[in-house]
Amino acid sequence: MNDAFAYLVQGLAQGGVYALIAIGFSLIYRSSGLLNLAFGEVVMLASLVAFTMMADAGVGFWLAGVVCIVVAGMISMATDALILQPILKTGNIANALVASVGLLIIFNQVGLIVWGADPLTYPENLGDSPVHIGSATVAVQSLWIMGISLGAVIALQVFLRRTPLGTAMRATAMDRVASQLMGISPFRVAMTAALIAGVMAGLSGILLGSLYFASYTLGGIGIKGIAAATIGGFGDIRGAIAGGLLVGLAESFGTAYVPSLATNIAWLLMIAVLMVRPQGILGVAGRRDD
Amino acid sequence: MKTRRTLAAVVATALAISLSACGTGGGSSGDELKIGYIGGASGFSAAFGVPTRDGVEAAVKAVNADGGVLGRKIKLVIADDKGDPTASQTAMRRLASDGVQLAISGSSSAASLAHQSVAAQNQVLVISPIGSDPAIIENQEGTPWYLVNVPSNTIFGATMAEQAKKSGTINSVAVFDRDDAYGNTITAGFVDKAKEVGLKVTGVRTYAIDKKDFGSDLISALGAEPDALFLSGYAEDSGLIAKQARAAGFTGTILGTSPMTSPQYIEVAGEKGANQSYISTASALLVQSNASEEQLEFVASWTKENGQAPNDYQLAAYDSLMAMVQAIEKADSTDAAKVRDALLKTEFTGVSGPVGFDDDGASRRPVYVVEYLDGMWQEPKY
Repeated sequence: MNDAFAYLVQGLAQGGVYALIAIGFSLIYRSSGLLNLAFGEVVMLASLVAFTMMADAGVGFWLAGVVCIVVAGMISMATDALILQPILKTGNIANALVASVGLLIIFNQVGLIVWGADPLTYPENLGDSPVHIGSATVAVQSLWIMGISLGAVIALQVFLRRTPLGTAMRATAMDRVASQLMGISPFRVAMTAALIAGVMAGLSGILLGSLYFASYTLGGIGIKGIAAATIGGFGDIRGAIAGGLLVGLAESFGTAYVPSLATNIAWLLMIAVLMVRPQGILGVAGRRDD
Repeated sequence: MKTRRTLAAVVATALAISLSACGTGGGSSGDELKIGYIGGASGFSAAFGVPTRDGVEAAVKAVNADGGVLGRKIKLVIADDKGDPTASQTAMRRLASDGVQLAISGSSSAASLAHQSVAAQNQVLVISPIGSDPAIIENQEGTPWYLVNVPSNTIFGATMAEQAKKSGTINSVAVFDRDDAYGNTITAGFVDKAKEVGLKVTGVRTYAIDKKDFGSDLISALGAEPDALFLSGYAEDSGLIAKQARAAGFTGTILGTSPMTSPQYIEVAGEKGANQSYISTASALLVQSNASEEQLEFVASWTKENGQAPNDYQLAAYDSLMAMVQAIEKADSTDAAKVRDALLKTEFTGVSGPVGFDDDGASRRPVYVVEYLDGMWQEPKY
């Protein structure tokens, strides 16, 4: 029972990070219909920027977090505005997908060349003490990550539901053509989505860097956000959250009870969902303008 | 007809020149003797590939400053295998085609196993201070082309199990098994010896080499309340396990093997995570009481030049190049087969400790156990 609670906390914390990354993938997809495969590498770059801020510029963890979120937002927007949107305008989505693969490789190499191959440990992190809840012991970082992820998700929901720009983004997600006819600028929506996705990448980057270390190899975790987004329903924010948490819990309990499957459990789940319910758990069957 | 005769003469002359070049042995470039270095300068293998290259470069510099070997300066030809077995085969082919017949390898065991056959096919004599997988020696039939200057993984794992039992405070151990050639053989050596000496293994958790989150594995492993964790991985993954184990409340001992003597282990695990780690290593120098006066002098001079003390990889790499040089001098030739025969009879005390090889190419270096406690490596207190 105690172990089950510990697996639950562990799974929710890991799932919280996956959810943030999945939200990023989903937001970009919602606004432009593109699966931007390079997005996981923005998470990686954010973790490295946070390291530089803490280790070289000497700023504290939280300020480094703010800077890495701003930088990740800028990278995400610049990528979208300067490369992906112009390619998408030609009407060939396959070209944009291939371009995102190119960006993935370039970002990864930038991480390697600029910061080197060694793992970089943050001089400050979210704490490394164990916390006792009842008779179970959990890492304090897990609780921080759950809290920060939850806060980010609530803030995003408020933005999407309570602001005109958020409403415009939801309208574009539902029907891009109709929203354009209503005077909503698709470019503005795409840029806002890219910015928010970048914020999620920045948050995920500093959380992963704190939990493990900053490294050019962190993009591999970012790519699991695709599995989470697909499982929940690509393009659906609630789906991304559900998918992220499901992947985190599946990995946590899978490691405990079926360790031989744990490494690939996210991808196995994704394939199973695609076969049984292609639109994902909370996704809708298709956009009206598809 | 005259043209054809002239062409034949040119071809014959070129053939004669190339055959005579082959006969000199040990790739040469003018008066220089080419010695190859193959290893990872990027990726996870950089943790040992880069320091191994540093050690070889330092040894080459020392030999050349002393007049070279057989009157020739050494030219180091470097091939980066990125820690990737396939890239490693290509890198070894490149060295061979570049005329290298003598080489030092800083590649991982997996990469060494991949490029070992390429080296043998091209009759490139290799000394590896890194490739501790027992299969590297077991794979060789007849006279070896691949010699290792590091004890085998089986010995590293078994020594740690033996010493854990001897401590009297460790009766049960949970094992984290890195799922590759290196980790699996270290684990096998540890588990087999643990059974033999009556040390309880509460469970073996095998993990993928790129795994970063061990939270759930630790909940399972620590549920059995082991006295110690045995980690069969490299510095990076072992550091993560140690860090996350302490964050999950584990206060027992952490056991591991030589990659964990890398500063990267302490960097990733943090001081709190790495504290109370017992490591089996071939380096005598981590604990000064194991080291000779000459070794300490070398460390002082290295530290002065580089700003920090040499690690196990740098020392073993330095000695590997020096072993090659001693064998060349003993054989009075740079021919790879003659150097190998001399190398198998070479024994000396180097900067890493005693260096010597069995007839099958296995290392005769002893294994020490050291403890990381209160910010420094020291003799275990048990």
